[in-house]
Amino acid sequence: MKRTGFTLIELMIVVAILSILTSGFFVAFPHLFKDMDMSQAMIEENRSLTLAYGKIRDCLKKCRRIANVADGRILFDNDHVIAIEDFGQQLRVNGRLIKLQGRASISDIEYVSDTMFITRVAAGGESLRILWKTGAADER
Amino acid sequence: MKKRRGLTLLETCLTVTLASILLSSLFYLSRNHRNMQRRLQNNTSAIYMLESMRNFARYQLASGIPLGSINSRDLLEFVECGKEWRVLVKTTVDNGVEKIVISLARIDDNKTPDCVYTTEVTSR
Repeated sequence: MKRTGFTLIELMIVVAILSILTSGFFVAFPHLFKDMDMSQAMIEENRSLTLAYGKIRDCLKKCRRIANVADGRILFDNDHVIAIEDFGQQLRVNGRLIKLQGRASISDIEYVSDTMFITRVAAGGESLRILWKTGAADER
Repeated sequence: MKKRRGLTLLETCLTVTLASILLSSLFYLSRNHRNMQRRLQNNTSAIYMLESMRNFARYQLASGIPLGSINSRDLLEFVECGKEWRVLVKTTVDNGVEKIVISLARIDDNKTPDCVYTTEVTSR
């Protein structure tokens, strides 16, 4: 008798073996799947930080001087405001809320001069000290 | 009809080859994914660091300090980053205008950096 293909029972056995192997994989290597979750969290973390960077830069481009720095809020001479909320996990730029994801945070506003301030930024597992300046920069 | 007792040598070889191809693809994908994650993190840190370094240079300039006196150690200490980050500062003067080019790279395990981030500030 000539064999032309797999029988239904053979296919079912293959599918059953694959299912058993996959479930075994889940049980035996939980850290691999935890890594996948962490990877997604990290992407979100970086996305939120990039968004925050853009919003701060956009705001600073339109401002000339810092009018007041108090209680985690920076008020500029043109009434623009950057506020840090929820222990650095949230940023409000001119009323628009940006939620920082995961370990990302922007905190500790430090006044430097009437055009400059410093914040601490937690990015990529590092804590950076970032100096911001009002006005448009000649970026390249 | 000949009774089928098991896999032939050819079938076994084919199965092993397919399994190897599948496993190598998985390893390759996982390595690429890890590289992508590392680059993503580095990019995010770098945009903030470059912003800060550029502003630091502008601040020094506004305080009357020439751009030529800024060195990589100043910039790295100011942002308080990890030891893996390296900065190269190059200053040039053209028609009385000073220009500082700041190049930033992350070097993990003494490997060649896969990305160099650059910004520049001029005294005018």
